[in-house]
Amino acid sequence: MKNYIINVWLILLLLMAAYIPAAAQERELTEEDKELVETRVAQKVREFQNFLSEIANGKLSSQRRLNSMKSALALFIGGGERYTIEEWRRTRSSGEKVLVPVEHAAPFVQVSNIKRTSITQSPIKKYLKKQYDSGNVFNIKIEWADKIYLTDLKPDPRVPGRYVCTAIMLQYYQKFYGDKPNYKDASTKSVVVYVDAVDLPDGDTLWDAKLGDIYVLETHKL
Amino acid sequence: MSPVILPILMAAILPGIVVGNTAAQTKDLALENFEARVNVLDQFASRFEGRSMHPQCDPADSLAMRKNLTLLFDSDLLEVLPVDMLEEFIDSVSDSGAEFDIASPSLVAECKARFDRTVPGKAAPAIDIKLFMAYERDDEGHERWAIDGVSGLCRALGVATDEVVYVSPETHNVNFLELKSYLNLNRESVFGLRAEAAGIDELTMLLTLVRAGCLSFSIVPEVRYHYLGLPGWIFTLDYKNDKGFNTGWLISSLVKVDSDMSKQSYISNLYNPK
Repeated sequence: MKNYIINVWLILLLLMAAYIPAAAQERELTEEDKELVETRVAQKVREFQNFLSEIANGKLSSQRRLNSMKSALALFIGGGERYTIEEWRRTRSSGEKVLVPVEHAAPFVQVSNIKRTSITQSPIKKYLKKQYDSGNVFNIKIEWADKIYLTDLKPDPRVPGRYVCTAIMLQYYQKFYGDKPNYKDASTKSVVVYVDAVDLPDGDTLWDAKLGDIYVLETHKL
Repeated sequence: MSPVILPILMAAILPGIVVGNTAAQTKDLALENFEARVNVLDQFASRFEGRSMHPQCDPADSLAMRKNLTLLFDSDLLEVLPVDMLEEFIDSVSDSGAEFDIASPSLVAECKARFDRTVPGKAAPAIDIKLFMAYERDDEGHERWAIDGVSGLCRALGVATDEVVYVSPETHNVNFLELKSYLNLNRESVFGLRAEAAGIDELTMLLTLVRAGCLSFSIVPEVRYHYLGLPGWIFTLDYKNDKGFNTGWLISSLVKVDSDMSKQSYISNLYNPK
């Protein structure tokens, strides 16, 4: 019986080790990796775009819109909530590095108005809820340009094995009173994307991309 | 390049980028603007180094590279910048195959940063100060942004930095007991206690106030980048928020410098404005 328990634990430990993000192993990205990661990042960004369009769309059922909100939050680092992660800290004098737990605020959405005279910001959860509530009052249509611009992937020095980049996207926003468009704008948004490599037991690598803070670069009326 | 070509080039470019696209936008026009805009510094670097082109530049055009570089200037600056200075700049970039290296100490981000004052029991207005962020790369190649300087903190907090406080020349005979009055009962004047030659380091002040919980970071409403990595030149980048094909991160000022000393003096004046 005792041997059986030890064996089960051993198997569990091996399985856990296999699923630990490749954080412990710093890796150079090959061109093939980069293509895979960029595809993955673009896919996550498009998923967010679709979910946001659905959340604001009052013509859809409440259940579907709430499910979209849940799914959208899951795309964000920390699930869209405040989170803690282990990050490297270096001692200036000795150069020694240790991992320490670091608390992070929930991803924020920062919005500037047309003239940039005022800036508002809110945690992603609150921002999505606001879009949901607006969809209950107004007929809102959010569309996106196909083009997404990605900056080059850079290693994130805080978390080994993690890469970071920014996605720039163009959103078209329309608000209707009844069937008549009441307000239209086009806004350019940037979102930080974190990419972690997860080694799978079969030797393959899964690139897990999570979204971070969002900033609205500019908004113009259409 | 002939001195007459660039003015002709500018005359051809400017109307298109400034007024040709400011009417009510359609989705297609918004997309064209999006593709023309320098949305992030990576795009600026890519166009500066000729790895990508502004959509209005035809790569087959022999002047494409010059046109591409000209389109990285804010049209407001182009209208007042001497043409020979612009030509000299474009020549020096084209001839040397210059790079715009984001990950280098040559790039300084001047950030207008807002902090909330968290004085216990007191409601105090937020303060705006300047944070100077510099890019660093360590021996292992890890890159990060670091705070390299702070300015405007004393002014924003109303600290009297110019004042000199006189402490009794006999107080040493009572183990400087008089300091109790100056440090505890006259806190608004404590900076006047420092020696004539002792400076004030606003970066350390800021970090101490944040560490003590007296200030909380709010937002960075504005950023201006200063680039000192091009031999003989310093330029700034500001975000131009407008419709049209001349928007995003664009060169907003250009200064010709004759030595590294001038660059050091530029940074010194930036971090410690008179």
